[in-house]
Amino acid sequence: MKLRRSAASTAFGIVDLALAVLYAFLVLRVVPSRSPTFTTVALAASTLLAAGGVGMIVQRRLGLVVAAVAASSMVAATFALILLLVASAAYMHGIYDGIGQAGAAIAIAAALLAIEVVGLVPTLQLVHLWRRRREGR
Amino acid sequence: MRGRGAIIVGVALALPAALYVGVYAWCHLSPRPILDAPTADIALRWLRAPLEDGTAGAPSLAALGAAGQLPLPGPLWASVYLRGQLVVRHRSDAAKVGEALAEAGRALHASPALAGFDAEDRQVARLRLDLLTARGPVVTGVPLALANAFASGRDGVGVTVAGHVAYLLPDDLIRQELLAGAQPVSFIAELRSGLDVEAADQALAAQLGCTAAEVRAAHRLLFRFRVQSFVDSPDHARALPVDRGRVPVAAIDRASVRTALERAADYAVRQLRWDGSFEYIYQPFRHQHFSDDYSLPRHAGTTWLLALAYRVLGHARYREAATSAIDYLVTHAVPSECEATAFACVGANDDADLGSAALTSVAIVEYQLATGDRRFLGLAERLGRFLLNMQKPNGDFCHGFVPESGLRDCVGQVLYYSGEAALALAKLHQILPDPALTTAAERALDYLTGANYDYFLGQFFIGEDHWTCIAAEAAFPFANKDAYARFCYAFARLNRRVQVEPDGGPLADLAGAFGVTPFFLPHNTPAGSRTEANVAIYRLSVLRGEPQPDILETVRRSMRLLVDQQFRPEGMYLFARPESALGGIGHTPLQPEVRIDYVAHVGSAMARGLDLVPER
Repeated sequence: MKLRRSAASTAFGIVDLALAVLYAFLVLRVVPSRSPTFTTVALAASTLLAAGGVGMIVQRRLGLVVAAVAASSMVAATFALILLLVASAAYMHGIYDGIGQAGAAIAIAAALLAIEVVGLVPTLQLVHLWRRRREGR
Repeated sequence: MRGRGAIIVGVALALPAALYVGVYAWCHLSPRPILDAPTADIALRWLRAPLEDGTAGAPSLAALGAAGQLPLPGPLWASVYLRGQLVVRHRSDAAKVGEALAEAGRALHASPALAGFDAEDRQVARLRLDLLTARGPVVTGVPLALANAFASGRDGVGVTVAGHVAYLLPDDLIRQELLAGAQPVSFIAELRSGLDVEAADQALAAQLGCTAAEVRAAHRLLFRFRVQSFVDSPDHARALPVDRGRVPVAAIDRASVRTALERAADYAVRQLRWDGSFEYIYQPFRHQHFSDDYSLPRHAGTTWLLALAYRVLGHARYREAATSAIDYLVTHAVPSECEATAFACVGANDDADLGSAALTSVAIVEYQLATGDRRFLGLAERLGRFLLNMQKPNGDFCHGFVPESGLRDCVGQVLYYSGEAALALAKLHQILPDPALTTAAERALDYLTGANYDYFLGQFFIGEDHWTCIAAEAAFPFANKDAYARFCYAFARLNRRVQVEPDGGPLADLAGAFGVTPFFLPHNTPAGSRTEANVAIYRLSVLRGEPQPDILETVRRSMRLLVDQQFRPEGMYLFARPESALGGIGHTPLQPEVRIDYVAHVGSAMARGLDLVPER
């Protein structure tokens, strides 16, 4: 089914593609993990995000569904990332009897960065898709 | 819809909090000491009986009284170290303190290794007692989490394989250099933190008589544990508590700092070689010396310590050692291309540098002030000309010089050189009343405390400017400027902010050190160098009539740490030749490798701050 095109959707699609490339670059080149599981999951997320980006640019119904799934996955990943950070901070607190001001600051900064870098765009994108669906476009 | 949203938000907020509490409760240890000091004395004297000529002086285990009936939450270990080597260790899994000690005592009595000790061995052997106080789980599935699951120097590692349990005590991890062995970021080889898990697997496998692969396969049964530890005193009369492999110092006074200074200076004297250079690095575990990449600035800094120690303590051996060390610089470190010139440089014909010349100047000035011997005055004067020649129009300095071409290299910048040059110019003024030196020193300090930080981010931080602030105090007689004092007070405030407090939680035993998280143990050299600076800043504040009590308190806290971290007779039971390490300072609280500049900074801080430590 052909939908009316939206410049905002196209912009979100371009941002999704750029972020997918960025995440893949970070995982493969900048901070490569020793864990193949982590690398596989991160690359799968990048691929899904890229697929969502293509969907947002093409703006067919299936494409928008893929984009919504991708954005929802990224929001869920952000929440999981924050939980992992919380668990890590608690673990370090338990081991070292405290993590100090610097440790606490790093944990909070990492959580805020996770929200900003991973969670912000998908959240805005979901809001955009929800409005678009509500307006029947 | 609104109700459902509220539930989602509530869960989103409550879940992390619940997760935090759950994980913390799962992995946190709450160790409680088992023995008090008197019962530990009795226990160690009882265990030492096999090492004494007779058992006449040994107490009966009945003297433990009720303590003998205390339940043990885990094993008790009795270990005998001879010149740093573990000779005998017995682990008892008995349920009560008295039973475990009796079993360990019987095992030591029956030990053929101890029976073979001669009189000297028995005298120098050290006995150590460890009692497990708590154990807990670790995350094993994530390599980074596993490596950092052991509090450095305090936790041991244990594993159960096929029903058998093996333990690596905290001392074993230190002695086998398994700590600070993991590399969390694959492309930053210099950043190391946490347990070297592979090496620990091998050590555990050796205990169990299996392969490291079998230990690795049993990783889900890995655990960490805490111990309460004691070592007998060198005279074997008392049990001394042990923390992170050393016997802690609770408090200091001026006499104890004076003793520490003497030990530091004597350490430097012992490192002096026939040609006047120093043994550069000493590894106490293996009694090995290394002199790769010998550093002339560090040589000169150590010479400065010897001159300071002579001035404060007056022992002739320090004067003689300082003379030899300066002679080495004169004969081996002034390149031929700088011999016939009006100025002198320090280094080689193809590469001389600012820092070597600066600290050589500082050492000569201190030597002349302490001894009255003017034999090196000519060299100092020529070095002064070199420093003046190296100064840029903005007050900063070129850091490199090529004697063959006579050209300055102003491209590369070395972290400490400009501050060292500022100090050298200010110090040279004390023996050479040349206005050019004071003008240059003032210009250097103007730059280092002003234009050096004149950019946006510069307002938010201060680098390692300890030399700058030592120079500011030295320059006070001719340059008493508010800008220098403000800068150095800010430097001291920054030090204070990152200084570990006596109630500093997991690092409280390292109170006085400068660090930011418990994950990376603070290094000892910055504690020495920043204390040198804080001493100078406090003196500057007094000279300006505005004494800063906070800075004095920072100095005193650090001084306790420096005495605590110095290799003293009470500790060192892990070292091959304790008499060779005496007075040395390790790289970190858990890495005992000594480089001469560690001792130089710490000793200089003690020499220059001795009178700031209360008599009692």
